[in-house]
Amino acid sequence: MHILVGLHAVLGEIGALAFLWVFVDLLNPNETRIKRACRVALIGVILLFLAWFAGGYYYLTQYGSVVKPVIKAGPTPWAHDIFTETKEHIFLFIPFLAVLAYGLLERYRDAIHENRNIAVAIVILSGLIVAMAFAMAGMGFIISSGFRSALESKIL
Amino acid sequence: MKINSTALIRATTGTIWAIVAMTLASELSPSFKNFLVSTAGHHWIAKSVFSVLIFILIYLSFIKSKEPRNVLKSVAVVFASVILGGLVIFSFFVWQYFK
Repeated sequence: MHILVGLHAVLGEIGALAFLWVFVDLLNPNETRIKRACRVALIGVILLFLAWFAGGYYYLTQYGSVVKPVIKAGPTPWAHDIFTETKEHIFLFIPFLAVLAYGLLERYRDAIHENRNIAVAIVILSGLIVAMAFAMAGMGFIISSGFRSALESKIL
Repeated sequence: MKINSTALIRATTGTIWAIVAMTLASELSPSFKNFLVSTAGHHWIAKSVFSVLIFILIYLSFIKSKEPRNVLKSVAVVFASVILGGLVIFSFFVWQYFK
């Protein structure tokens, strides 16, 4: 267990919840909800960038030297070879999607309740961010399980 | 200054595909991976920094573009890029593991 893993997960999941909020607010947008969605999306962007830094710092300082060799030597090396490798690259999509969702909200904040297409576009983006963040959490679980199974195979 | 949504959508789509390309290239070409390591100390930091730079560069290149006539259609391209790009990366590492 490492504090940076927890920090990365908490920042990422709260960032995802911010976009879940945006998703819900834009299902039936009005002036108050759009204004609130803009503020919440900005918070979401900041949290997802912080999750990027926290996860990246952990990956570079701890994971590669301590966790990766243990997983690779354990019974489920695919937890690293497939899931860490996938997660570390697909994660990079998320902050840019968050910037796009926030940017569209800011750009069209006065037009969203008149143009349903724009609201639907932002709803789709927000839903995608939420789904991807939860997919990251799922892959994180697989990677942690790979580490634990490697340790258990040595201790038990 | 107003945000240009065409530039933002193109920057996002371009960055997604740049990440996919850098991911595959760094695994298939040791010289490209070495180049990434030599620029930032670690291939993942280099990919992160380059993805931000690519995003900014594409955004600035299209900053004077007309706003899209159909935002939903443009966002659908981003959505398809994320799904397809994600599948390419995942499938690539599955293939690498089993090959």
